Amino acid sequence: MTSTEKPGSALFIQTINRYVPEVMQTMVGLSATPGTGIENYPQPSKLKGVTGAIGLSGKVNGIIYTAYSQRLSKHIAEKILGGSAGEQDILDVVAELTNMITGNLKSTLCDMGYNCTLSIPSVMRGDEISVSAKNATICVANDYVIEGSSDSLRVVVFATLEN
Amino acid sequence: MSSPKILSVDDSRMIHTLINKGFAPYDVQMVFASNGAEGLEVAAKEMPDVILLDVTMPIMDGVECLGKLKADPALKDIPVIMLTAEAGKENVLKIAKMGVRDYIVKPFTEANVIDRVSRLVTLKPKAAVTAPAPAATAPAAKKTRIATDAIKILVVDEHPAIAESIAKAVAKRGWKVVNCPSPAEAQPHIATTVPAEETPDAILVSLAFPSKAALKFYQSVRMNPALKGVPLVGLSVKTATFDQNEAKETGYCAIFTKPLELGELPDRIARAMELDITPLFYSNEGDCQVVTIPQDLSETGSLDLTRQSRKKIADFVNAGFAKLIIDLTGVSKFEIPLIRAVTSIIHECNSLDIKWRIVGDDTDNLPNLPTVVSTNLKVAALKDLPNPFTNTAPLNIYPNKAAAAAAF
Repeated sequence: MTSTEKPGSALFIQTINRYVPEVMQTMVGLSATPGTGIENYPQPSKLKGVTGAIGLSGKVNGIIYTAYSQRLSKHIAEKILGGSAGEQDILDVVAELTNMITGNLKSTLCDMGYNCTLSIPSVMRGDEISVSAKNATICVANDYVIEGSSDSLRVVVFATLEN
Repeated sequence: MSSPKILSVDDSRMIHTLINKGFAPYDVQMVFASNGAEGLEVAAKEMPDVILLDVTMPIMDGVECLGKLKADPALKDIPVIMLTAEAGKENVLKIAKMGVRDYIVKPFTEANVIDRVSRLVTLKPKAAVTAPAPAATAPAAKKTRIATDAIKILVVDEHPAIAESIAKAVAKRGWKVVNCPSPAEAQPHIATTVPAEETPDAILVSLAFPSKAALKFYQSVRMNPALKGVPLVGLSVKTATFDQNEAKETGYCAIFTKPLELGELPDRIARAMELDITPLFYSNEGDCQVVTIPQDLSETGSLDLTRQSRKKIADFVNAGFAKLIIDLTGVSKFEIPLIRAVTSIIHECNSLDIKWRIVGDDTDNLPNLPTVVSTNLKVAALKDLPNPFTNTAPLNIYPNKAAAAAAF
């Protein structure tokens, strides 16, 4: 059923809080415990490490980032692939996990009447990746503590919804 | 027969690795492509038995690739399973209309993919191909089970009272129940080292265990090739719809809600196992076939008996029988499940020119049976069934099978 309610920041946080742990548990076999969530995530902001990004365009325009530390991305890639992971493997795993999280967010939005399409994932590396979305009305983020790791996964969503 | 060929079309090497790892224990040929265009080329060259197709890919996405596959006369019949993180209703409807056979929502487990593929092609464990030991060929041994077989049911539920009530309900069929209070304690029953004759025939699992333990347990079961065809049923309270949906998405074939309807339970388990229940009802007596309808015929049992009777009665005709006695001596109250079963059996007999007679106690147990039957035929639930008594002689009820047989 299509809802007429316009998704707000809280719904975006709720949705990523549902799917990030599900993706981590199912694909990696590790729990991901969400933090409290940030409803007005500042922009521009800096992310560091290995960062996956996927754009949303349609009735929702925006971008979702998943930022892993170098160590965490390698740990997750090796856990999934069941052996040592090279540079390309890490990029591929981060891209695919970002795709799974974003795809499920997209499904939630589409079921509420906010249809959109996804871009192909891209992955960046660096210590100062600047992220922003000038006209975004939804700017949310949350950190996820990954089981067995001292590093957190940060997920950031910038989005603008069509009226 | 050669081993099935599976084509995985995905731009992610991670997905290829996981799929390859998942199918490693099976005798299959894996081929890969990294986008839709390459997928079409590989499909045309390799003619796979199943295609696993990602949606979001560069160069050509999965939806365009699916369209081209379905438009190609040489490739259109290859079953396609879509792998997608985009499981929104609109997306699912769109790909369903394009002729996709199934879809798997990402994130997925290896067991989930194996389960879906095994519904389309026969997966044989590699061990079974190289050394056909009885334990390794267990999936084949599970074929064509009948309700009178010795069935073993594994119940994984934290409340012993649930397992006890299930055991009591299925005892009349001679089925056995093994209870484990947690998925961890059930592991020894699903291990690959368990001999085929000791593996469970059906597994009922509470969905209330914390940390998605029921879903993980499902995956453990499916990782054992010997348990490939064993149905898993979730047990849940009616209101836990989220757990139920998640369980169905994982692959649980049915959900039984608590409190369990114990009268329906044996037949619902039989349905989950796709058992032939007709041996419970049909027997031979001289040159007649007899179908005995019990008073406690459940709703599920009635529907399945109705469905399975079509083949059973056709088999009689092929075997040279032409007379059927419908034994209602155990019936004292004509309820909907019974009416459905009796009328559909009579209808089937009429269609195949089989003579039939009814045995019942018209004076004590079931007075005025013809009137009761005729009246009940008007019940709305049966209105789409042709009246089997039309154009037949007045309905006679015979006091016993010998009298009915003599009247043919």
